Amino acid sequence: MNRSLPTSVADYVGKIPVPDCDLNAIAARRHIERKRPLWSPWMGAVVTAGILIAILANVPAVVAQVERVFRAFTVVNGHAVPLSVQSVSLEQARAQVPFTVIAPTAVPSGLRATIRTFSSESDPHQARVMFEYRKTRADMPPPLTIMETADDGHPERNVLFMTKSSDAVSVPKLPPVPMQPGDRQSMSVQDYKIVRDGKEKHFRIKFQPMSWVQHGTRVTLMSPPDALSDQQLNAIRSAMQAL
Amino acid sequence: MEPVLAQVAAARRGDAIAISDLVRSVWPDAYRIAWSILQDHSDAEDAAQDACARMVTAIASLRDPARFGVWFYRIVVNQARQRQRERVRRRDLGEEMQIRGLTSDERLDVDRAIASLDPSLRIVIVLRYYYDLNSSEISAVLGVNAVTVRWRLMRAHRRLRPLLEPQAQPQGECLDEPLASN
Repeated sequence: MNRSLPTSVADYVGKIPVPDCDLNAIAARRHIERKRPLWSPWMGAVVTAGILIAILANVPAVVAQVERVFRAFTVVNGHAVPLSVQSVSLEQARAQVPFTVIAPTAVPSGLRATIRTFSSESDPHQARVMFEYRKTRADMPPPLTIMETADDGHPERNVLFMTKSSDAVSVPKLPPVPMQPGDRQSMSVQDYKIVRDGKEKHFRIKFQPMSWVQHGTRVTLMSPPDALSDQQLNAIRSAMQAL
Repeated sequence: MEPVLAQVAAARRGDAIAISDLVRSVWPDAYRIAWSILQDHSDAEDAAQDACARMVTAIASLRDPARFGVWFYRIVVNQARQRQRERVRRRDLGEEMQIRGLTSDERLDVDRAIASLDPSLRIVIVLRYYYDLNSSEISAVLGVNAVTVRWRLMRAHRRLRPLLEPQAQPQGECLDEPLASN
């Protein structure tokens, strides 16, 4: 290795992929009026709090899984099963989960993935990989989320409730889970809580995920309405299915 | 980061265009510094955005525009540390550090070795060798004394030395000042 330390550090820092500067996102953190170029001190929004995602796909029974980012657990028929959550690379994800990880491809440029694995020591079948694609932190919800699980005849694993909360104390109220097979199949819900000027505002987004099985892996592709076009979503699915 | 003094001065006066230009010019450095500490895109972007927002809020209080760089880097470092603490509370950092732990693989390249350094060492060498700050300035950015900075530089150098060209890295070359005898 014939490099000096300054050169090596310069190379290392130079390789850091810097995302575009999102003035709106920065302004939002300062409660800025977007229509005005001025950065007044008390305008803007602080987006914190929780994200609740429910993926309900072909659910035959009431089996709810509650997963908290960084403090995750699963509730299966009322019993809590601890889950560990790790931010990982694709290679690490492949090494950690007992199913074939299908690498997302044909993802629109500008979106960057955070890859997380969810696993349970007591129940390896609970393992899953989540690719969460965002353009900026202000992308709430993320324009694209891809969840992969083993397709081993346990469709209840397609149910996911995930909370992302700084305090991670209270369990969110679970949205209704389909009671019968075929009931509201393939519906997804995202709940958001935004804290603005000390006031909480809640809103919910519903959308239809794409789901298919490939090499023994169930792939579920989710994108909120108007985030990505059908053409883009179909391109991702086609590209992944070609792998 | 090369914001001109006039730009900083105009931003201090509340010039909206100057503030926007200033944010754009400092953004890459904010992100790189945050990344150097956090090693995670989402966290680094959050920290960099928070730092820029805080900078805009507080720039009127900046007494000496010539010290803008060190002043802003400190804001970034503080924001990154805050996010790091949150991550520790979520018991996530330990997992990541475990994942990124340095192995004994002799083929491990320098980039990975730098990435695997403890964040407190990594940020010091980034500030020293990429941003060309001296120990005193790094001390001001990190809020630690200069001896600690030099000690961390030495530790980082010792960790990386086996991977670097021997003749290009005589002992102590990484230090901008002699290490205190203690």
